[in-house]
This record gives sequence, structure tokens and C-alpha cells, in this order.
Amino acid sequence: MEDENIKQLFSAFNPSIGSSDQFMTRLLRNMEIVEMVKQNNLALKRRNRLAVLIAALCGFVVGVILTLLFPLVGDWVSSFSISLPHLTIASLTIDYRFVGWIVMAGVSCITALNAYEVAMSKMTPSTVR
Amino acid sequence: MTREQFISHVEAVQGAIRRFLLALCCGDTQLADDIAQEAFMKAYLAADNLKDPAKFKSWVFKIAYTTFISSLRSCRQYADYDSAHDIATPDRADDAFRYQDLYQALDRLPAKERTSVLLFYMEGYSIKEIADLEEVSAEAVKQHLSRGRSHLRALLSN
Repeated sequence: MEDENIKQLFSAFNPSIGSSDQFMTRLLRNMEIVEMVKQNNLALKRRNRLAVLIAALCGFVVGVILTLLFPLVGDWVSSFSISLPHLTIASLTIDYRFVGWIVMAGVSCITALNAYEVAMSKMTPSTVR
Repeated sequence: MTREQFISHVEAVQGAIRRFLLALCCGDTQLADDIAQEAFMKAYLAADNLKDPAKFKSWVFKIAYTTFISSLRSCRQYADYDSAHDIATPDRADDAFRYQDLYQALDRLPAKERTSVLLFYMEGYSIKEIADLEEVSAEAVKQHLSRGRSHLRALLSN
């Protein structure tokens, strides 16, 4: 019986909730803002991916060029070892190769990093879209 | 779900969701609408997760309920029923007067009892549906309903 009273109470409950048009207008505006933010984030992601690609390419190209130039550099370094008689040519050969590879790797990485920074600074979201 | 589909679903259910939240917020229209806006935005962001568009209404009710609970936990200060009298808008003043006793009684119910009672009596959800919505067992919903009914009876008879 009392359950019926509560049912009747709520069936008669019909409060005014204000303008639906205003509510929908506000919601649509918020949805547009969300869409704008989503588009912006997408553009930033694309920009980042392109910059990483450019950086990887630059690093690779510099690495290939240095690898091709490595024998010439080796000859040039070995010409110094002749003027230093107390150093054996064998030990100098091992040292310069190892150091040479390290230097090449370092130069390639620095080139890639710089290329990434430059690409990110030059690209605006509108150029990527 | 496309944007247009989402908007048409929202237009169909926004009245029911706002009335439910208005009752949950005990007559505070502004708070109810703020929570409704937040709930619909969450639904919009998660629209791809909804597999069955036919369940849109109950899905949004669930989001609205969890958003309401979050707003309680973050201790939003919403006007208690007495201070609502100071806010001068004609429709709110009329409704506040017309449903004065009901809002006061609902205000005194714990959130879970209030939610269960509103979903059962106002929206016509079954106990199983309410349990899914609130993520509790059916037994817990029955308990909330039973206690909510008793409390409401006691409060409204006073």
C-alpha cells in the first residue's frame, strides 16, 4: 500500500528542468571545443612523427658519409703514427678505429637530435595538416 | 557512433537524465545541469566503447550516476535545500515550493538509497538493471530500496 503511495508520488514528480535548447547549445559548444583539442593533438602527433623521420634520415645520411670517409681519415691518422716512433702501429690502429667509430656515432646522434629540434621548430600544425 | 547520431541520442534522453539528476541534487538545477553536461561529455569521449546503441539511455544513466558520486566525493558545495530559497528564479521557486517536502526528504537519504529509489520509482528500472548501473549486487539494491522506502515514508509522514 505504502509502496503505491511512493509510486504515485514519483509518477506525479515532473519538475521543470529549464530550456532544453540552452542545454543543447552549451553541450554542442563543449563538444566543438573537445573536437578542436582532439584535432590539435592529432596535428602535434603527426608533426612529431615527421620530425622523428627527418631526424632518423639525417642521422643515417651523416652516418653513411662518415663511414665512407672513414678509410681516408684512417690513412691521415696513421700518417701521424710514423712521426711517433715509441708508439707501435698496431696499438694505434686499434685505438684509432675504436675512437673513430665512437666519434662517428656521436656525430650521427648529434646531427639527428639537431635535425629533430630544427624540424619541430620549423613545422607548425598548419604545415603538417 | 557518429557525432550526429550521438546528438540525436542525447536529444532523446537529456530530459530524463536532467530530471533524474535534479532529484539526486535535491532541486539544485544548476548543479544538476553541470553534472549532466559533464556526464554527456564523458559519454561523447567514450562513445566508441558503446557496442549497442539501443542501450544508450542506461549507459548514460550509469555515467551520470558515477559523475554525481564523483561530485559528492570532491565535496562540491551545492546549496542545501534551505539556501535554495534565496535564489530568485520563478520556475525554480515554484518547483522548490511544489516539491519542497520531497526534496527535503531526498536530501536526507544516503546517496545510494536516493539513487536506487529514483531509478526504481522515477525511471522504472528493474532491480537487475539498477544493480548493473550502480555496479553492486541485486541484494544490495533490494536493501537500498527497502531502507530508502522506509526512510522516505518516515520523513514524508513527518
